[in-house]
Amino acid sequence: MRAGRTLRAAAASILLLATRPAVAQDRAPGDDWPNFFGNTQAWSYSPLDQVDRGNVARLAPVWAFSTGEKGLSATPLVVDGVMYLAAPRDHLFALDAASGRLIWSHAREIPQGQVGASSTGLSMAFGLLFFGTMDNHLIALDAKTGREVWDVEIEDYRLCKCTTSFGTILAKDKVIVGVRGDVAHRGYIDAYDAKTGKRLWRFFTVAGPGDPGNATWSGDQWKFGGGSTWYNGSYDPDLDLVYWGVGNPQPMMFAGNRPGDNLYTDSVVAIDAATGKLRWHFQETPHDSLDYDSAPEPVLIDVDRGGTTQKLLVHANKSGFTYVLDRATGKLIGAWPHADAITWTKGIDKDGRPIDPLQNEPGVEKLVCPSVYGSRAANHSAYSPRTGWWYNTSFEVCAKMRAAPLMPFKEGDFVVGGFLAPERSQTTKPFIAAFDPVTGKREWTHQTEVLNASPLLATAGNLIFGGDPFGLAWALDARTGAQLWSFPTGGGISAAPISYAVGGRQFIAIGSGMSSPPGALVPVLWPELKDRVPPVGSTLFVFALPQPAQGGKP
Amino acid sequence: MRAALMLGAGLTVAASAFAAPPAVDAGAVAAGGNLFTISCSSSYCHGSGGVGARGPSLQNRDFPLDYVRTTILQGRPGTPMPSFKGTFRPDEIAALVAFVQSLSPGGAAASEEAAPIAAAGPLSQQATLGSDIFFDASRHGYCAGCHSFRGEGGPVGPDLALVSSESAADIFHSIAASLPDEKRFPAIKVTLRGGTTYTGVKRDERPDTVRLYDLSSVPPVLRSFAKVDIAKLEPLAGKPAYRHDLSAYTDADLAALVDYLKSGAANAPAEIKPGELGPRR
Repeated sequence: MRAGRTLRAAAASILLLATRPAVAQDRAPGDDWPNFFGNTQAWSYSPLDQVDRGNVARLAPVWAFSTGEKGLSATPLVVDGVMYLAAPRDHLFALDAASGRLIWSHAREIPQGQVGASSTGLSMAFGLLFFGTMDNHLIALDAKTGREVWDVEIEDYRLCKCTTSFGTILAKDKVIVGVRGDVAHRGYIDAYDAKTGKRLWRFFTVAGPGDPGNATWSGDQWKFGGGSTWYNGSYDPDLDLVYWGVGNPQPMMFAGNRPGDNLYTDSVVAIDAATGKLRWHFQETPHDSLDYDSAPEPVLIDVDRGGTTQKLLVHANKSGFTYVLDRATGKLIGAWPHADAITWTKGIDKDGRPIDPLQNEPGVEKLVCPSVYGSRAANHSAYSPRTGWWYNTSFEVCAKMRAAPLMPFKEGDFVVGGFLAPERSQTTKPFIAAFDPVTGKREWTHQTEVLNASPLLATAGNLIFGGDPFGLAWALDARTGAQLWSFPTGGGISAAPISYAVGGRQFIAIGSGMSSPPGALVPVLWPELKDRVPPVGSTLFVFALPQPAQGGKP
Repeated sequence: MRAALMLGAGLTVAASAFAAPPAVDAGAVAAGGNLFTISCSSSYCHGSGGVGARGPSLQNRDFPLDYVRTTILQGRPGTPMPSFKGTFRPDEIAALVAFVQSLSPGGAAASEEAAPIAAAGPLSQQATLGSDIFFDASRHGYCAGCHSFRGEGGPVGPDLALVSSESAADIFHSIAASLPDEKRFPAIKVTLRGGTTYTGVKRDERPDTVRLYDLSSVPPVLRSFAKVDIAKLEPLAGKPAYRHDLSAYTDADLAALVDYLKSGAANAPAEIKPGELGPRR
C-alpha cells in the first residue's frame, strides 16, 4: 500500500517566465551569494561595503516575498541577479533578486510519515540547483526553469527515519550532503556527481569494523550509533578536504550501553573529497550523554602567526566550547568557552578532552548548562576578515536532565534515553559576542533580551546582521556590538541573513517566520515576554539604501 | 517487525456521531502548552506545538481523552514514549491532556476505540535474516533500493509481493536471470539531440517530459528529459535494464532472501535450504 510513494514525486514546476532578469554585465566579487555560507569556508561574510556603519540607519525594505508556508529558516542563494529560496515543505522559488518578481516555483508531493523539517539551503553548479528533500532524496533542478533533471534516493526515509542535512556543499564537481535524524541509525556523508547524480562515495560517521576507532564501540552498537550530520560542512579546495561536524551518539541521553569514546560522534571529520576516505578526526565530546553535538559549521580561516600562515579550523560545539584546529592535520591549537553558563565540565585539557565531565544517569536529576538545545544550534556564526573576529551567539539556557532506563531498540527506533526540562540560566544572560578566533579573547558582548535564534552575517561595511524572536531584524557595529539599525518584520527570525548586489546596489535579505527549536522556547522560558512573540509567518524581507530621487543628491 | 515502526502511526480513530464537543479550559490549555514545550516537544520528540518530529505528530489526531491521559501516565510499551507518572502533578497531567486535545480542533469523543495495527505475519529466523539482507543499504545490490516488499522499499522495479506465491526455485531463477517485467517496467533508450544516450527503466511520460531510472549506478538515478531535447526514444525489448549481481551474496544469504520473499504467501513454507534454489547461472 505504501509502496512507491517515495518516488511518486509528481514534481510540479510552474514556469512563469523563462527570461532572465536584466543584470549588469560585470559581476564584482560579492555580488553573488553563491552557496550556503557565502563562501566554501563557512564565513557567512559579504565583501560588500556600500551599506556601512555610517549609513545603515537609512536601510529600508525594497521588496518582500511571502512563501505561503509556515516558518522560514531558509538561506537563499543569489547567482547572476536571481535568488533561489527553499521554503518549508520542499517549496522552492526563483525570484528576481532586485525586484522580487517570481520567475518560477517548484513543489514536490509531501511524503507521509515521520520526516523532519525541510532543508534550508541549496547549492548550485553547472546551471543546476541541488536540494535535499524531506523524503531524503537529493534532487537537481534546472536553475533556469525549475524542472527536475535528476533525483536520487539517499536512503528510504521510512526505514532510517532520516532526512537530508540542512544544506549541501559543493566540492568541485561533487555535491556533498549529510543526513539528519535522532534515531538508532548509522550516520554518513555522501558525495554525488553534480552533473549525473551518480553516488561517488559514502563516508560513515560511526566507525565500523576495520575503521580507525571501531574499538570505541562495544559489540554491534556501531550499527545504531547515530552520528547524524545535521547542518552543513565546509570545503578547502587547496587541500581538497571536506570538513563536517558530526552529531551525537545514540541513545542520545543514555550512554550506559555504549562504553567508550564512540567515534566519530561529536567530532569534526576531514574527508578526502576525491576518495571519501577519512583524513583525520577530532572528537570534542567523548562518550556523550548530553547531546553536545559537533554539528555546527567548521569555519576555515588563515591566520598569520609568527610570520607563517596557519590554516586553521574554528569550530563551535553545542557544549559551549570553541575548538581551534590545524585543518591540515586535525591537531588541536586551543579550546576556549564561547558561553558563560557551562557546568558540565571543569574545562578542556591539553589534548582537547573535557575534564571530569558530567554524565546523564538514570533516576538522578542534574542541572546541566548548556542544555541539549546547545549554547547555540544551527544559528551559525560569522567571520569577518575585515576585523579578524569571529561572531557567535550563546543562548545561556540550562536543563534539568535525567536518563531513562533503556528499552530494547532496533534500526530506525527513536531512543532518546532521557528526560529534560529546560530553564533559563539563573546567573547569566544570553548574548552575541565578537571573539579573537585563535585566543578566544572576547572583544565585545552584546546582551540580547532573550536567546537569539538567528544565524549571523558579517559584511565589509563593518556590520553584523541578524534578527530576534520578536521579529526585529537588526544590524550591529562589528567593532563595538552597538545596535545601529532595526526593522520589525512581524515574524520571529531564525533565518540566515545574506547580502548580494545587483546593478551596483547592495541588498540584505532575511527570512521572517520562526522555525527553530530553540526559538520556540522563548515564550516558555521568558513567560513575561510571551505576548510579544508573534505568530509564525513565512516572509522574506529584502533591504537596501534608498535610491536617490531623479536629479537629487545621492 | 519493520512495519510496526512507531505505535500511533497506524492508529485510526472514528469520530462518534453523538459525542458533545469537550469543554475547553483556556487556562489549562495554555498551562499544558508550556509544559508540552519543555517536555514533550523537547529532545525533538513531538515537535513544536505537536507538529511531530522524531515522535508522531499530535495535531488533528482526534485522540480519545482517556487514550491521551493513559498514554501520558503509562507510556506506550514497545515505543520510546515514556511514562510521565510522577514527573507531573495530577493538575499538570490534566493540563497536558487539555493541550493535546486542543491540537484537534474538531474535538474528540470518549467512546472511540483504537483500531489494532495491521499485523504483518511473524518472520522465521531465516526470513528475518533475509529481511536484513533485503534492506541492507551497505550492500552494492541493495534490493530495497529498487523493489518494495511488505510495504517498504523502492518503486524502480516490481513490488515483490507478486512473487511470494511462486516456488522457491522460480523466485530464485527470476533473481538470478534478472527476468524483466517488460509490461510495467519497460527498458528504454533515450538519445538526446546532442547525441548523449541513456538507457534504463521508463518511469513515466508527461506532456513535456520523459522520466527514466538510470540503473548504471547505485542508487538508481531518476532522470527527467524535456521532450524538446529528445532526438529518439526507443524500446529495448527483451533486454533487462539491470542485471542482478549475486557475487556479493553467499548461497545461505540467497536462501534467506528467498525465504523472506516467500513470507508474504498465505502458506509460508518451511525453511528453504540453499541446495533447493537451483543454479546461480
